[in-house]
Amino acid sequence: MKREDARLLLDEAAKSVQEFARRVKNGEHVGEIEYQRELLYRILMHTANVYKRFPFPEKTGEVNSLYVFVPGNVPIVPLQVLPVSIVYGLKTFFKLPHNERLFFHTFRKLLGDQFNFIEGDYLPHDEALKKAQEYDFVLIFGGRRAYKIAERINKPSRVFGPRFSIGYINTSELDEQIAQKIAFDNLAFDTAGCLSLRFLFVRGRIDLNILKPGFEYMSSTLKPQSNFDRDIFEYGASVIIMDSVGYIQGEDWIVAKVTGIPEFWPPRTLFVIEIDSPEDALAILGNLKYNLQGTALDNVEFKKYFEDTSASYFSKFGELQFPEPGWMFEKGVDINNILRGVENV
Amino acid sequence: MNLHREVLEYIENSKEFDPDLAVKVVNYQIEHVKFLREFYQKFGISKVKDTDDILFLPVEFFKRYTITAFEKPSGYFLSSGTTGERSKVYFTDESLELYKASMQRTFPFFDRKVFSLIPPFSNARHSSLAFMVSFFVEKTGGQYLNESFELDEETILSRLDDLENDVLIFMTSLQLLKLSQYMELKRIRFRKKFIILETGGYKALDKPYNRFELYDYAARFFQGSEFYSEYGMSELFSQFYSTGPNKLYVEYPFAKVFTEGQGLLKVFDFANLWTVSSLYIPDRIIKKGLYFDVFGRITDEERGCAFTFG
Repeated sequence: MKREDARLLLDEAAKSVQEFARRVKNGEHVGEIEYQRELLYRILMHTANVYKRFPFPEKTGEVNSLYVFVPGNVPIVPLQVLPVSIVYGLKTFFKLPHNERLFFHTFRKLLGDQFNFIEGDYLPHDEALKKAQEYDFVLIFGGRRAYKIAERINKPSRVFGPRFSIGYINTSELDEQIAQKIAFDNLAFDTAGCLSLRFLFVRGRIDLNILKPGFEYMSSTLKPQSNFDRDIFEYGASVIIMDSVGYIQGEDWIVAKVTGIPEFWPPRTLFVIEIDSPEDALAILGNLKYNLQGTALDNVEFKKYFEDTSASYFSKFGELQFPEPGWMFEKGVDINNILRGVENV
Repeated sequence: MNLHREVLEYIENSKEFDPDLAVKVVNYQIEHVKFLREFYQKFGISKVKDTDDILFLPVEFFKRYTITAFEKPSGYFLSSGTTGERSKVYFTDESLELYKASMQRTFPFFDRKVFSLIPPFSNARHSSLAFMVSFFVEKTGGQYLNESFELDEETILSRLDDLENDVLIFMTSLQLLKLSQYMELKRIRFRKKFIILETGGYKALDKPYNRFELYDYAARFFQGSEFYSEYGMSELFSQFYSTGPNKLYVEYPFAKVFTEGQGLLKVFDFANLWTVSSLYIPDRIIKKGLYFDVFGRITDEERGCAFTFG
């Protein structure tokens, strides 16, 4: 596909995303899961802008078709992969999760016939593996199971495995405005997304009550999704409260101060860890520093402390869900190499 | 009358759940189980006044903390450990007395001989399951068919072949699956009428099964047998039994399920007097009236441990 044609398609896709956003804002039923509309609207509008500024690869390779295993926790991933398919001119199939097909199909209808190279549906596990064989390259999003799928597919593939996000802030910078942004980052997708804030490292000492108004306000805006599992939340809360050295809690959120990495990470839960230096944060994370996705910072200069991690995206608080055009999920991955197979997954 | 004696008599004779005694038990445990006292303190509670105040303690904590009212326990059970760390549950003769009293009341098959693929307690000193099954084997004049939890299918099948109709055979779900798979491979069928009582442990199976699927599969080889189920764990001294072949579990007055409708299992077990009676167990259940079914443990991804990708 010529670059001009691809640019036109990206512009068309951006219009579809904007229309999708408009429908979300109007309260239309766009998915099987009821998402946080305000969040989804903002992400979709941001995605439309990303399409308009999406980078092109230096050269297209031998890959002509792409198969994508979509994760079950965040619906937006096909929309993030779509521009890759456009700029490379790839016939693409999205293998959808069993619990959410409508979101993709609603969007697909908006794209129209000129995007007939884009398809997607749910398939049972074995069928999905079989169909993947028909494609040149496979992208696999998911938790630990993603690696098992990759092992079973004898194809060039790239795995985007389990990831989570952290924040780092000096106590002196913490105020109620930042607290609201922290709550936004944490409650987004009920903390289930890779770019949702799980751990907040605070340099100095913190009274958790400073976070309370922010969480109270934001939890009324970012309400639990319809698939929020209150049982797991309540069970996890009982475990975490005991393991914490302090906590604040609302009806459907918890902020717990802990001294290490807890075993149980329930939805809508923020772990706060007091540290004396950035090195402390890395020491506490241990090998989990290679599972980082995003890092929220109140000061961009702190970025240097997290360079020896897998963090692929640094943002201010409140912006973790809005990566820039060209962000390809993983550190070191860009539009030029995303379709290069990684042998050792 | 001391509380132990009161609870023992209650387990032996109770016809309905006694909320006053439950409150008394919880306050005793808050006083004597240090970890439980700290748990209640986290929620700002020093004493409970009625059953609405009772907190259900996640069983996870048995893996990481010493949870007992005994100063000098005489031994401990370990959980099966299919998911990593293992729970440690301390006991003395006193707590085992309550355990046995609960077994005596809940086990529905004292009218027949019990045979066991679970090894004798003397071979598995930290297995509460082996302790329980040994109690039944000895009480009913039954016999052990296996020396360990491992399975030599050929030997076991030959021992099963020697049994008469209508006996009860205890086995884990993994043992039932392995035996069935072996019988499928070797084209073996039993037409004797056994009562097969499987004791769960679905996490250990090689693929996700629900128990009814497992029974359907096993019934192809154990033709004529009936399948019953026992639900229990080291942390819980009372067990629950299905009320008939392929039927649901039933609660007891002294082992009451507090979950209503669908949710994770909350149970109050008076036989746990010396540890914690009110337990929160991350198994998904559906309960209606006195009956409930168990759909398995929440997964790592549900816990958030796999921090699934977005």
